[in-house]
Amino acid sequence: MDHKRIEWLFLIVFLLIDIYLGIEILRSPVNLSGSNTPTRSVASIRSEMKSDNIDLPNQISNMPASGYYLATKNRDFLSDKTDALTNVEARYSKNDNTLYATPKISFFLSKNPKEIVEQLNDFKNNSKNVPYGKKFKYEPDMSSDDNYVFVQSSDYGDIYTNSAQLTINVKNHQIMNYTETYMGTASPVRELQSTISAWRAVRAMYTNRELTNNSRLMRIKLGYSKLTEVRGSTILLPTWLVWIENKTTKNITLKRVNAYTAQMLQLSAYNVEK
Amino acid sequence: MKFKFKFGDFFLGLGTLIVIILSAVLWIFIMTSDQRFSNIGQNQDNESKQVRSHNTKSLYDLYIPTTSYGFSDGKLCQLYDSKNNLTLEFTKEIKKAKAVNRIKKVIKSQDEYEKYLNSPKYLQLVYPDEITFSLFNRLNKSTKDNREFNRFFVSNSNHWIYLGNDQTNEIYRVKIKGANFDKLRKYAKTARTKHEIRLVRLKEGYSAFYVKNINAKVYSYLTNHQSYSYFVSRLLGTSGVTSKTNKTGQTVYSLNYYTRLRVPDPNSGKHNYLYTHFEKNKIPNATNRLLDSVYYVHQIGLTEQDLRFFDADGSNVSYLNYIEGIPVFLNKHDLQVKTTFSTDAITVAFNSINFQIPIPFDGQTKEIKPTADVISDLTAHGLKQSDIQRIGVGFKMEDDSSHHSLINLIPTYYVKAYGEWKSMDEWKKQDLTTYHKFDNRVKNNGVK
Repeated sequence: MDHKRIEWLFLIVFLLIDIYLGIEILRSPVNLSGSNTPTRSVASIRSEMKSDNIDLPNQISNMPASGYYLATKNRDFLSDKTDALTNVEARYSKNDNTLYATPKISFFLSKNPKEIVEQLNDFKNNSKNVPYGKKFKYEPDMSSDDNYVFVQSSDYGDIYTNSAQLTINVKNHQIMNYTETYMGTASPVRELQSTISAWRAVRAMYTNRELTNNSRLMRIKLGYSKLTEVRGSTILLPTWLVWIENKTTKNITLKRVNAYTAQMLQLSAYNVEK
Repeated sequence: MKFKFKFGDFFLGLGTLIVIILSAVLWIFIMTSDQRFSNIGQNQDNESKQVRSHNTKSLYDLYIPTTSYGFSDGKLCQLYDSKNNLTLEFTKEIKKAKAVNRIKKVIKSQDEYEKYLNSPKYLQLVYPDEITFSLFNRLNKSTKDNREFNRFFVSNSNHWIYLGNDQTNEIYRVKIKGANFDKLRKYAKTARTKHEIRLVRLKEGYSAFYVKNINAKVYSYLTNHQSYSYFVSRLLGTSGVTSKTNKTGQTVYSLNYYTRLRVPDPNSGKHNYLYTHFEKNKIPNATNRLLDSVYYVHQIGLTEQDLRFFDADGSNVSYLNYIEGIPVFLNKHDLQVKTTFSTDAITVAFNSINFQIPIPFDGQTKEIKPTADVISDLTAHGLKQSDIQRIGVGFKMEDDSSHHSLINLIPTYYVKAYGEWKSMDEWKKQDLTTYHKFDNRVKNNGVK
C-alpha cells in the first residue's frame, strides 16, 4: 500500500513538472523586442490623436531639419543705449535687464492690421526709437491686438526667449510704450547638426502626454530656446516650438521640444564659473 | 478482482515511468535544443527590418561619413567647416539619391585606386571603417549585397557616384538620380579649415597623415549620466528582473536565463555597462551585424546626437561620439558602444556618459605633430608602421577641476594596432613584447 502511495506521489509530482516544462517550452524566451514599444505608423498616431479630439494641421513635415548650439555673451547690451534714443523717454532696469520706453510724441497707427505691422516695423527699425530694432522680427502667434511681440533674429534662426524680445503696447491705435530685452549676437558653439522632424516632435509630445485631449495644434516652427548659462555665456539650442490651443478655453500655450533629442525642454540651472 | 488490481498497478507504474522519462526528455530538450532559440533569430530578423524601414533617420545619423577630403591649391586636404557641415550636407543629398542601375566594379588594383585617391576631380567622404552596400537600400537594388566600401568619391556629375573599398582597392560606380551635390562642392571650396594631408596605406586601409603641425582646438562639455535604473528598465523591462551584487560592487540584473545587464558600482565613479543576451545563433552577416548593432544602440537609449559608426572588426561593431569631426575616446581608450556577436550571445558594452551642454570655445588649442613624426616615435619604441592598422587624431577626455561634471576634450593621436585602440602615449608606455610574441605565434600558426 505504501509502495502504491509513493508511486501516485511520483506520478503527480512528475506530471506537474512535465506541465511546467511544457509551458516553458511553448513560451518564447523574453528578448529585447519584448520591452520595445512597437513602432506605430504616422496614420495610426494621427487617428489616435483624432480620437483624443486633438486637431493637427494637414501638413506636418516628416523631414529632418538642422541647427546649431548657439552662444551669446551675457552682457548689458542695452544699458548704454538710452542716450541715443532721442524720440522716446527710456530707462534701463538692471534687475531684469530690460529697457522700458515711451514715445515722446504720439505715434498713431492705421486701423488696417497689415498696415499696423508695417508701421510698427518702421518704428522699431529707427535707432532713435528702439536700439538694435532691426534685429527683431514680428511674431504674430505671440501677439494680440494690444501687444505686438517681436523676437530677436540671428543669422542662424529666430530666438524665442524672454531675454530676446521686443513688446510694443498699443492702445487706441497709438503706441503707448515698449519693453525690450536683447541677448547680443549669437554665434555657433559647435558644428551644424541634424535635428528631428516636426512630425517626430509632435509624436514625442503626444507620447509624453504634453498634447492634451481637446486641443488644437496651431503652429509648429523651429526656433532657438535658452538652454542654460555657462562661463558668462547663454547657450541656445534648436527647439521645435509648438503653439497649442485649448479648444474650450481658447488659451494658447507655447511648448518646446528639444530638436536634437525629442525631449521636452526643461531649463536647467547649471552655473559654471572659471 | 485480483486481475483488475494487477492491471491498475501495471498502468500506475507505467504512467509514473512515462512522466519521469517525459520530464527527463523535456529537460534535455530545453537545455540542448536550438529550437527555442530559433524564435529569437526570427524575431531579430523582423527587428532588423523594422530598423531598416522605420528608423532610417537614425540609421543615416549613425552612418554619416566622418571625414571629407578634397583638393585646395593643388594639394590634398582634410576639409572641415563647422558652419557648413560637409558630411551632413552630403548625407542630406545621398538620402535622396536612388540607384538607377546596378553597382559596377570599375577599379580593382592598388595603383588605379590610388589615382582616384589623389585625383583633384573627386571630393571624398569617408567612413572610419567599411560598411556594406545593402545598408542603404536606395543605393543598392539588392538587399543581400554584403560587398563593403568605406569611401564615397563625388565627381563633378550629380548622376554618377563612386564607392571605394580601401582594403580591397576596389572602386564601384553607380548611376544615381535625385541627388544634387552642387552645394557640397561649393562648401568644399570655401571650407574654413583645410589641413594638408597625404593618404598612407596601413594595415586596415588608408589613413590621413598630416603633413604639417596643426593647432587643434580643445573643447569642453558639461556631461551627465543616466541612472542605472533607466538602462535596466530599457534593456530588461520592469518586471521579473532579479539582481545580484558581487564583491567588486558591480550588480548584475537578470531577466530569465537569457538576458542580463552588469551595472557598475555607483560609488566607483565608473559608468561602464555590459549587456548580454544569450542565444544560440549563427553570427549575422556584415549588413545584419551593422543593422542589429543599430537596433541595440537605439535600445540602450543613449543620446545619439554625436554618435557615429566607428569600427567594424570581425564580429564587433563600435560607435563613438564625434565632436567637430573628431572621435572621442572615453576613459583612456574606451569606445562608447561596442556590440559583439558570437554564436552563444550578443554582448553590448557601453558607457552612459552624455555630452550634454557644449561650452563655448575659450581659445585653448593643442599642437598636433605631423603624423610621420608620430610613426617614427612609435617605430623607435618598437611599434612598426607595418603593425599599425589605423592612426588618427582623437579626443582624450580629461576632468576639469572647476566643476564636477565639466570635462575637456584634448586632441591627441590614437593608434589601432594588434586589434586595440590606444593613445600614442599609451603605446609609448606599453611593453610590446607580449604583443610581438602573440603576433609571431599567430603568423607561425598561419604558416603551418
